Amino acid sequence: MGSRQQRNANRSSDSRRGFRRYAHMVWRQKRVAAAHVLLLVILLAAALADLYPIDASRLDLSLHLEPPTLSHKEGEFPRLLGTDPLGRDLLARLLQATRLSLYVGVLAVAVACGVGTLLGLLAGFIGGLLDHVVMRIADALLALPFVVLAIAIVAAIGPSFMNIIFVLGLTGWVTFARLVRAEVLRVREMDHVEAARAIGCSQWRLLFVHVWPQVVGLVLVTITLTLGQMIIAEATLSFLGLGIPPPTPTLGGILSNAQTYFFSAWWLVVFPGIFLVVIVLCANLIGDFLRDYLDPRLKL
Amino acid sequence: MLSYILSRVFQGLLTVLIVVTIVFVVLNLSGDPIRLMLPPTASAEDVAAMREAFGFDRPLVEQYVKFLRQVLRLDFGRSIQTRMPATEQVLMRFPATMLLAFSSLLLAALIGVPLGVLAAVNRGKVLDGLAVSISLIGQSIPVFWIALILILLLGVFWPILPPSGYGTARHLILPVLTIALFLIAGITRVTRTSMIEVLPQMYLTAARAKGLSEKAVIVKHALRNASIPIITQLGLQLRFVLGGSVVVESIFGWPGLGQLLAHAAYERDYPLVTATTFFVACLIIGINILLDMAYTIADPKVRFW
Repeated sequence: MGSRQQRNANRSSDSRRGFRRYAHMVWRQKRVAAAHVLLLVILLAAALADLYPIDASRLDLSLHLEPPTLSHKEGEFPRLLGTDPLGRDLLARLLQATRLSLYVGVLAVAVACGVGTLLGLLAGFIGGLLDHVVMRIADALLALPFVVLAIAIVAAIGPSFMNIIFVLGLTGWVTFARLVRAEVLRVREMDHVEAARAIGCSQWRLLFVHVWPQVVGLVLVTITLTLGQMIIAEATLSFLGLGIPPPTPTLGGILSNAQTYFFSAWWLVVFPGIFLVVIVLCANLIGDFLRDYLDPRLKL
Repeated sequence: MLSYILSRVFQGLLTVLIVVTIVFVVLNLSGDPIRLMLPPTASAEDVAAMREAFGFDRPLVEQYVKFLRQVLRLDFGRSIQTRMPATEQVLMRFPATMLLAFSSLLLAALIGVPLGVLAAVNRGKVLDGLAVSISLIGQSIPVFWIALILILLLGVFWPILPPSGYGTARHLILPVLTIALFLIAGITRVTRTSMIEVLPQMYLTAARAKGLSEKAVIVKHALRNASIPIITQLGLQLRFVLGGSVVVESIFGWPGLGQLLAHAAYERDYPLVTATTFFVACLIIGINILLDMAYTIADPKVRFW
């Protein structure tokens, strides 16, 4: 049974539709509801990062490695999460870094999803030589750990914003291509596609009108589950000094610098990591939920 | 059997060829590798001389063929930093990474598999909730942060272990723990799912009816039948172990392949990056072929001959 029919079946047992049904389902699982709220807060905080009262790039050596505090001078905002070795406010920098992480993550997923879904659709639907070529390249990319491949590429083309997106997209499309291809192989043998073929629909109509709607749920779930991985991957590259170069604050970069101050500044190690984990955890929780919501049959 | 092994090995070699081609394409993406190797202040003559010395002035196809020949001879040239043959340098680093990788895989399997089994058997209870939470959180924590937190806890606040270095067994603990913690999430998750699918099967009822103890039923009958996805997962994990080891080795100063690669990439040491990538790919492909054969031991139904 296809995912659409199943969804219709679910709907008939529940009078709610569209957004209201989604909200109802989210509310029933407290963890997932919390993840939605938290992600919304993070998105807002990242979007409004520039409005934070302390400038993230303001140096003040008199505030060298201040621990987190609520106390503050007259007319100044407290350094809630402490300061770094150059006296820059950690929270202000983390907000900027979070925005950048989300930005990179979303763009990288967009590239990976666009390329991977298209190749997966074509490989699965057309088959033949194209299928062989795409799948052999995917196998080869899977024979390398992500970090190793990314490092090799960055070593060749150098670290910059666009290059990082390129690297993440190049390594990320494989997941989409493989999952979409497998789903297309299953869907294209289904009765409604067979019927459409029998009445003489063109290949393109078959692919986009009859196959694609069955695959789109899988793509949505994969997007959510890949987002967290992309954010971790970007942080890993920045941590190794192969990401977006300083002075742009990145979560990985801040953590990398923190290694020098293990003994004097625990907050530099703890807080950036918490930011990173919370973002990724929210994305993963929502992804897991979306998978069950759209199609309980899907297993990833 | 022999023909199956041969065809798997042939497939593996094909994959290696594609990996090598990808590496070649990637290295030529930058347009001019020489520019990256030399400092920006190098004179035009130096650049031209170096280009000729490395053969980068030749047509791409010719370079590709030459590159393939080098790969066949396992000769990737000399490291730009140390002037040592790249292959030799990579092979020297192998033992340290293997020690790290297999210790952490073993530790992760020893914790993850029982945890997953217990979670599946006690489905819906506290232990299950705990296992599910662990695997969910474990998937969301970057491996380098696990390392930093472990150093902060066990190296700084409660200094019982050396925060970095190589040589004694004590130095092994933190890096192995880091990678293992990172792997447990995936292993627990797969073991739990796979066991949940096996548990309602009739042959387990039959085994119980025969009078076997519950322990024997779970371990000998259920776990063995659930083991194929678990073995697959361990094979997939190897990619994460080697990927994770790049970061972990850099943090803990562990003299393995990962540290070599991170440093080589940072210094743009081309031959070294190529050689490391090649050997890592070969290792992963080779082990996956071995794992395919291990399936047949775990499950006699999977016989390809």
